[in-house]
This record gives sequence, C-alpha cells and structure tokens, in this order.
Amino acid sequence: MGAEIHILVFDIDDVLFAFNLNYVREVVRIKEYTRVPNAPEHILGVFNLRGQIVPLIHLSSILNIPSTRYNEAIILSYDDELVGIAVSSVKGVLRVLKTDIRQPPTKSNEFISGVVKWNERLISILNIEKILNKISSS
Amino acid sequence: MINKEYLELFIDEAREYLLALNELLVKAKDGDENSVKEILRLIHSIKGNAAMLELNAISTLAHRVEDVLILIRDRRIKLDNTLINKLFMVVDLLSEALDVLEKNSKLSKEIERKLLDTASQFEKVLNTNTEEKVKKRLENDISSRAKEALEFIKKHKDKPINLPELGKVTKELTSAINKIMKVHEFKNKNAGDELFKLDYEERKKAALAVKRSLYLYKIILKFNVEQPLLTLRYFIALSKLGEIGDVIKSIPTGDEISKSKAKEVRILIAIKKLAELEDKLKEIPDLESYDVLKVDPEDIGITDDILRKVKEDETADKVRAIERILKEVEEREKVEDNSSYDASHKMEEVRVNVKSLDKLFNLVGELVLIKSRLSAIAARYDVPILKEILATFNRLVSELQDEVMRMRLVPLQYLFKMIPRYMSEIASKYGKEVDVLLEGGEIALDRKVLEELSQPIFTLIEVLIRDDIEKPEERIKKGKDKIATLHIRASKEGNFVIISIGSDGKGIDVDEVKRRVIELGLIPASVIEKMSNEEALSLVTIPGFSLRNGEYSGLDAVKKSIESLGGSLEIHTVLDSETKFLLKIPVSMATLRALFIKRALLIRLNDEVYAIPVSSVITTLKVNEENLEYLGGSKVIKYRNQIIPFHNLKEILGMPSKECERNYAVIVEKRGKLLALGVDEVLDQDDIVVKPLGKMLSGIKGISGATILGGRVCLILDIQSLIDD
Repeated sequence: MGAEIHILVFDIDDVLFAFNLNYVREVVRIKEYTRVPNAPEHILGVFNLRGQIVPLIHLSSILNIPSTRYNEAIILSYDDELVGIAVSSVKGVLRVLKTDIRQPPTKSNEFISGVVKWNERLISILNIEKILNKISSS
Repeated sequence: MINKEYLELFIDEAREYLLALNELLVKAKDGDENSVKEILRLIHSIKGNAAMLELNAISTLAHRVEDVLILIRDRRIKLDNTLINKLFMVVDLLSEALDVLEKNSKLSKEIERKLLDTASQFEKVLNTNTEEKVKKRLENDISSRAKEALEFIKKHKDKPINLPELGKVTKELTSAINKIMKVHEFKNKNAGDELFKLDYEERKKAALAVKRSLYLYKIILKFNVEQPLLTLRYFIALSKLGEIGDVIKSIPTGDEISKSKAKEVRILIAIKKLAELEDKLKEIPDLESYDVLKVDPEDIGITDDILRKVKEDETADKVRAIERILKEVEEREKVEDNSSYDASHKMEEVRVNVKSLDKLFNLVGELVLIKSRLSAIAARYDVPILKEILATFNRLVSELQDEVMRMRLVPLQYLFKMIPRYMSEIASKYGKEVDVLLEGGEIALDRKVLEELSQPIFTLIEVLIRDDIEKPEERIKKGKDKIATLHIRASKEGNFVIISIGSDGKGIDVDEVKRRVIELGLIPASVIEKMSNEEALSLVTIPGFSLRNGEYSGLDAVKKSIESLGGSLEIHTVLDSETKFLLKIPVSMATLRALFIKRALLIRLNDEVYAIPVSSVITTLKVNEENLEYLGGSKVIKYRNQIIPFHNLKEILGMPSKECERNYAVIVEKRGKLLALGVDEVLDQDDIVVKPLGKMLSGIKGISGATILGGRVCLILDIQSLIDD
C-alpha cells in the first residue's frame, strides 16, 4: 500500500501522539459537553455534532497519563458510529515513511503501535482499533 | 381472481424450486438417493401451492409426478434414464408455464393442455407399474405352488400315491392358474376402461370404502330407452344404487349423460352385500340387462400404501396448505441471501440499510417539529409571502413524511413466518398439541412498530399455549379435537390494524380472576364488586397478577408495550371454548412519532437540563421541609394519603453539590409503585426528538436516550433502570 502513511499529530498535556489519518473524520473545538452519569470512566460525556450525539472519550486511563484540560476533539469513525477523542490540541498532519517508524520500547503501553521522530521530538503512534475495542468492550 | 401478491410469491418460489430441481435431478441420475427425497419434497410443495391458487393443471401434473416419485423412493420402480429425461422435461415445462403465468397472470389453454398431457404420461407409468406388480405376484404365487407340487411328487415317487394330498395341491395350482387367466380376461375386458382411471378424489373415496370393509363392483347397465328418458333412468339408477352403497364413478358422468346416445352405463360402486345389489338392480326401470363384476382394489390402484395414506388425508385442510406456504416463504427467505437473482425480476427494488431508514425518519421527525414552529411564527408575524411559502413547505414535508413511512412498511408476513416454528417449540415444551391458522399476513405495518409488536405477540402465544390450551387427553375427554387451534388474524379497520390472537382452550373464569385480585390485595373488594365482566377480565393485565398456579402472569408488560404504540389490548373469552386477545394498533403518523418523538418533562439539576418522559410522570410538587419525613432511615414524602419514598435525583446521578435545593419533586411511577424525585427546578413540558445514543453509551443505567436542546445535549432519564428496587 505504498511506502508512506499520513498521521494526525496531537498532544495531551504536551506529550505527542498520533493517529493514522485513515480513521479520522474531522477535528472540532470542544465547546461544551454533557456529563453522563453512571457512565464508564473513560467517557467524559456527550456532545452535539451538527445534530448527532457523539461520545467524548479521554485516553488518560488507557494511556496511563494524568487527566488534563482538553480543548479539541478528534472525531473518529468506528463501527458505523462516530467517536470523539478529547485532546489538548491538534498539531497537524505529517507524512511519514513506513521505514521511519520504529518499534516502541518493550515496556511501553500496548496501545502504541510505533514511534517516529520529528524535529527532535518523539511521537507515539496509537493503535486506534485496539483502543476503540477496549473502550467499547468495557 | 388470484391475489397478485400470492401469485408473484408462488412464481418466485417455484422458480427457485425448479433451479434446485435441475441440480437435484443431475445428482439423482448419478445415483444419489437423498436427492430423490428432496425432489419429492419440492414437487409436493409445488403441488400444494399451485392447488391453493387453483392452478389445477400445474397441481395435477405435480401430483402425478409425485406419485411416480413415491414409487421410485420406495424402490418399486427404477429411476432409469427415460424417467430422468421425462423429469427434466417436466421441469422445463413448468418453467414455461411460470413464464406464461407471469406475463398473463393466468395459464393459457395451450400450456394447460401440455401440462395435462404430460400428467397423463406419468399416470401411464403409474398404471403400468400396478399391472406389473400384480402380474409379478401371481407369477410368484404360481411358481411357489408349482415348486410345492414338484416337491410333493419327488417325495412320493416310490410310494403309493396319496390321493387327497395330491388333490389339494392340484386344486391350489389350478386356482392360481385361474387367477392369472382372470387377470388377463379382466385386462382385456377392461383394457382402456375409463371406469378404472380414477382421479385423486375418486380413489380416496374408494379407498375409504375399502377401509370400511366394503367391496368394489363394476356394474354395466344396458337401458332400452332413448333420450331424454335415458337421462331420467340414469339418475334413478344412481339414486337407487346410492341407497345401498357408495357410487365411486360412473361413465358417462352426470354432466355428460344428457348428451350421450349410447344406452350403456358403467358404474363403479362400493357395497356391503352383493345380494342387496342384485335386489336393487331389479328395481331400476327400463333396464334391458345388467352385468356385475367384482373389482379388486389393486386394479384401481388402491395399494396398502394408499389405504394407509387415506386416513391422514382425511384431516388435511386449508390450514395445512397455508402453513405450508408460509413455511416455504421462510425457507425462501433463507435461500434469498445465497441465490443469484434473475436481474429482470428484481430491478424495481433496492436494498436499503435499516440504519439509513432510521436516520431518514429521524430527520423527517425534526422537520415536522420545525414546520410547526415556523407555522407558529408565521401566524404571529403576518407576512403574506411567508405564509404562501410555508403552505408549500408544509405540503412537501407531509408528502416526505408519507413516503418515508411507506418505505418503512413491512408486511406482517415477516412476523407470521416465525410463528409456526415458535409455536411448535412452545407446544412441545408444555406437552400440548397445537395447530396454527394465520390470516392477514399481507397487512403491512411500520417496521419499528412490527419490531415492538413481536415481543408482545410471542408472549401472548406462549400464554395461550401454556395457560389456555388443555393437554390432549383433557381435550379428548371434553369432546374437543385433540389438536388445539391457535388462530392469529390481522385485519385493517379504518385507521387501525386489529390483530387477534386466540385459541380454543378452556377460557378464563372471570369470577376466579376477581377472587384472585382480591386475594393478592391488588384492588379492594369494594371496587371489584362494581365491575362488569368485561372490566373484570382486563384485571389479568394488572402488574403483579397471576392465577394461583402462575397462569396468566406477565400480561402487564404486554399491555404496556401495546399502549406505548398508541394501541390497546382487549380480552374476550368464552368459558371452556376460547380465549382471544385483540390488539388494536393505530397506523397514523401519530404512533410513529411516538416512537421517535416523545413528550418529556424538562427538569433542572444544577446547571444541567434532563428530560423525563411524561409517560413515567404522575405529577410535580413543590416541596417544603414539612412534607419531608424520615421513615426507617430513608426519606419519604406524603402524597395524597400515601407515604412514598423520596430520592434526591442529584444523588442518584452522582452529581456534585448534592444539596438539593429542595424545591420541587417529580412524582413518577415505577412498576406500579410511586416515587418522588427531588429536583432543583421543574421547567417545561416539550416534544423532543429522541436521538440514539450509540453503542458505546447504550446500557448505561438510568439513561435511555438523548435529545438536543438549545444546541446542547440533554439526557433522557429512564426511570425503570435509574433506581434500584
């Protein structure tokens, strides 16, 4: 399928992550969201996306990082429905050669599929399928 | 006039069968036995379905082919190449017939002739076989007798001849030989005798007579009068003969006699005593001569097989045929996914994803709400051009509504097809024997309504089979049919669809119901006493009701489901005779709106707005400190002479600043019991469009859906799951 992929880079509390662009539908600013009582921990709430009700997920429990302020949401399409991932800010789209993607260090999180270097900084590419499967199963 | 839908259904099914038959015939040619059974089954189905639609040429052909296939299955004839080719021909012919049927909605005279010609070809195969069998039996008979004679002679070769023994053996041999000769005689006399070519009904009649130990005779009457007197004498003869036996067939027939010039009449009759027959014949006027010949049942094709089968057919009726068609529809559904379609047949239909339909419906629902808001504004500001445009807009939205609704219409057939299987599972579970009669499958309902109806309908079927229908032994004792009947009928009455689900069981004893309700303390005796029988009967649907042995429980859930569709449930019963549930479902847009658009009470908790469906809400109250009390550690509140539990809704929902502003409470109903929920403020009552939450959020306790208010998501609370019992 070609030697390169496009990734959407974002940060959660200044730590850089990325998603494969194939899953990404759009990026929106989080204006407000409604809390859902009795919902699982990773669901921040729900919000209105042009008339559709979309759940807002934060990855702190999954990635073992502290919760923080979220300003933007990355909307992914999963199983015919939309899901919003809450992030601090979206940096942009990066074109990356497959050969530049390194294996993550053995002790790292199971949801990171690879690591790539960019401007002296490391970006952890996240495995969206694994994350969404984990979320919907709990 | 054949119902067009059934005709199309028949044609589609039959085509699929023919496709399968082609494959199966190839397998059968290679010697696969199971193929024969499958082929038989398919032909049998075609016969039944064609008969239902009165396509007699097709069903007659199928019938003859079926008879031959049975012989093949029982290994009485060999499936040789000639026969296989004949069968392939039948498949081609049937395909041709279907083409004609599709084009003209009926069979042409030409194709009917072809079908019937082929049918008589198969009949010949049958008849030859019967003759063959008889011949073979006699041959075996003779050869074994001959062998015996030979043995006997060998044994006594050197001994003085024992005359009596020899006499006996000779006698038996002679009788066997005579039998063969008689058969030949018979064959010659009766070769081509129309009288012995019986159709299905006639053979059945004859078989029944034989079963009742009657004997078959052929009578040849020669009259010495001309027409029209001949016709008169003919009918007198038939009438007199009918007094002492069953007339199976006569040649010429009653329709043909007036045109007949021949003075000879041949009759096939079944009687008990030959002497009676002779006496009766003497009573017939103008008879020149008569001849009576005994007829062997096997000569008219009545074998042991048929005698056995005859008993079963006695009870066959339209019910089984309808059931068969429905079973076949079910089978066809399964095949549909895998078979390849003939492109020309299916171009007028498109497959639509159900989700898309639901989305479409949701959008139309919102349009409808906006339409009413726009109308309200236009009324306030008198702008002529706006009014004009709005009028067009309104009309367009209504048409859109109608079309979308129509797209969602699904015939009840889809629900009905699952019933026979379900019913037989439930019947065997409870040891009952039940047959089902389904009517009105062509009536269509919105697919969501149909979905919502399936659970109540299946529950009612289970209740009837479990609680109304008696065990077979009991039914026989009561003089009822061993097999009970479950009758499900759908019909349209104006804006309503009525679905009646009934059984011919023991009925409901209203007095028993009344006593039980009082016993369970569900309703005070004083109220019950004033009730009429109809009102009392509906007591079975009170939550918590059941007769002493658990019968008729769970009907409250059924009633609720139906009411949520805007419908109603009626119960009728006749003691020891029947019990019937009548579901009345309105088919107006109003019902559907009810599924997607709910009326809700909006409440405020802190700075968030929540919605509670008004169907759960009894009333709202302003609460003062004095109204709140403590009872055994939990808060309660007095409401209309009742003490009901009070819950702080913010606490239940785990919200911060749990301090209830303690101004308002919403009284809700959960499974027949009242509760008070403390909220910060009661806002409006409004129509809201219920939006799906999605898989990730489904199953969350207390939340049934969401809506969008003022751009924000507002959650809809589900009282049933919100608070633990």
